[in-house]
Amino acid sequence: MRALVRWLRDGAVPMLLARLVLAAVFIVLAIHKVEEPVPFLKALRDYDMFPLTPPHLMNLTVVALPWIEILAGALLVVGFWLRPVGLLLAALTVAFTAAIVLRGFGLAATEGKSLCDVAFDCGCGQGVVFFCSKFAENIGLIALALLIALSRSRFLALDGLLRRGART
Amino acid sequence: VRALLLPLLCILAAGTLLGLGYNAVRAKDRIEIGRAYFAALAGAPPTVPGAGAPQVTETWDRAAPPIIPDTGAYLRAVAAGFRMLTVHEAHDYFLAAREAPERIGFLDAREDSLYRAGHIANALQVYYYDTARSVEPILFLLEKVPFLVVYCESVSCDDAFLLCTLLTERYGIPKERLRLYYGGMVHWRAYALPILPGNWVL
Repeated sequence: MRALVRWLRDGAVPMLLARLVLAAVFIVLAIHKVEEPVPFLKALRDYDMFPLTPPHLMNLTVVALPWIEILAGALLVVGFWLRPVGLLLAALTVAFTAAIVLRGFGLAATEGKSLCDVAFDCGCGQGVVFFCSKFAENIGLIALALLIALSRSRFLALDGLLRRGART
Repeated sequence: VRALLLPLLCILAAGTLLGLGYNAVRAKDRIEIGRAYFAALAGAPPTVPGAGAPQVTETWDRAAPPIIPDTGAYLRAVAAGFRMLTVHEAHDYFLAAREAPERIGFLDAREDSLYRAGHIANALQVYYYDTARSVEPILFLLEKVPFLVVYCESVSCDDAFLLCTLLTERYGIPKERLRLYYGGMVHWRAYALPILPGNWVL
């Protein structure tokens, strides 16, 4: 167990895989949200996360969040600011997962369905998704983001190059 | 902490600037930061006596009492004073519009892909979320036509109600000229009424 934890913390392969997978997921989903902002706007309303009036915070989130995700994804690819980016993506995914849980429980109660039968437009660029699969996917994304934030590996990362450059 | 906060602030600031910049130059579906898109949906929907499940009847039975839906969109629209149309009444308007197209217009409040896939024959797309592209170019028409029938996908969607609210509040079209066909394309399709695919070009 300890060896596994050490491998995850120090290994180059898990870190590189986590960076590429997370970057791909966030960039692809963010591009969907940039292309189609209205479904994202409607989903935010359905999540009841923001006040409807004044609308600035919700509208600004619709405009800015996908670009923040694209930027974070690009930073993961080049390996710059890995720890802050990992924490940022973990925090965003935790917040989004909490919203999904509240929405899933709410729909299960009103529709009289079991939680895993509940499906809704998540607003995440994937269209209609089932609650359980989306929840499991998000847990996986949070784990990858935390791995990036906690890993010591800087293999094929700008962070590592800069650190080495600063030392010499 | 500073080593974490400074990059985070940079990413948030740069992402926000990129988002605002792209939003300012995009040709379609531009988000208006100050626009309260859902102000009409704030608060709990009002109660309407006799509201029940919104179902399509299996037969074209005009004698059957109309079912009063219990969806938020329907209840809010009734409370706001809009004249609601059943699928039968909407069909009557549709037939009348064929005889006198200058007197009755149908407005489809749904997004591009749904509209292109099939809309009520001769309905114009008026997308609530992109007024610069879809309302303002045809405002001269909307101001002229005495009756406008507005619909969206189903009895559960809010967009027809939101569009009616926008037309009255922002563009000054009197409520009396608007009809909200609440069954939308779901009821229209269920009765196999005339549908056209593609874009309606003015």
